[in-house]
Amino acid sequence: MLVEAMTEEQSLLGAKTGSEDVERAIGLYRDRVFRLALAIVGDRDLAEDVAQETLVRAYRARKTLKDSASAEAWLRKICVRQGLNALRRRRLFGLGEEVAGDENATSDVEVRQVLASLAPEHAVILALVQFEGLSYREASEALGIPEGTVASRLNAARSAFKAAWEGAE
Amino acid sequence: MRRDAFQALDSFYAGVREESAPSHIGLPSRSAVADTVLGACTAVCALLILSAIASSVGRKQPPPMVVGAEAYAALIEPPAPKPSEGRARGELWTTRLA
Repeated sequence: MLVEAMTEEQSLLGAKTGSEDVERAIGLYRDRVFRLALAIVGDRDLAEDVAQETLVRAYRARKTLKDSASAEAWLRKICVRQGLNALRRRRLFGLGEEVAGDENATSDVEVRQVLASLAPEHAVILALVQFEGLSYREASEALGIPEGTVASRLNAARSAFKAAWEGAE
Repeated sequence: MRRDAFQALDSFYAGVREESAPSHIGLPSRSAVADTVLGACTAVCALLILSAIASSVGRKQPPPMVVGAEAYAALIEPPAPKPSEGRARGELWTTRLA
């Protein structure tokens, strides 16, 4: 999903990555960062926190972005880290997800509940591969783990999701 | 009948793809930062001015100095030389000379 609008960013960013370029890129990526955060944590309020923290951290670390072409992967990596931290905190402090929604959204509410019950690493790998459509190599770069681990973790995440979904019936 | 787990997951992700970030997410623009800084400086200056005015209004005036009649006279005209001391010395001197 993040790949779609890269041409626009690349033309705006140009070869150099100054502060203003990073600010502009952050402005352009904010929707996609938010959507990835929402896919990871499942909860809108928490996703807003994760997305905001991602953008602020990206801005603070703007000097570490050497190449504008890697802005997408760079932001994704920060977002994944923030999403994982948020899920771990939620699990640590036992904060449950607020379940709300109309009848049409019942299925989505159930999915959010099931995602919230998964291990944070499983929720993240599902978001990266199922939602973002990343290859194993891209997912391994985002997570900083080997490709083989991505494959095995994805299998485990799918099994855990299926089991939790069927167990919730 | 309940949907398949991965159909439900894909449906959820499809809904997420339709979402967009709320307007408050992102970095504040430079002009907004400048406005905030300017506003804060103005507020601090206003507070300082107000506190200075308040302290000058509420400050106690020093009690009026009570000037006695003698002190007042001393200010008006220099004190007359004390007659006793010089004269006594003079008398002693003349006494010795004698």
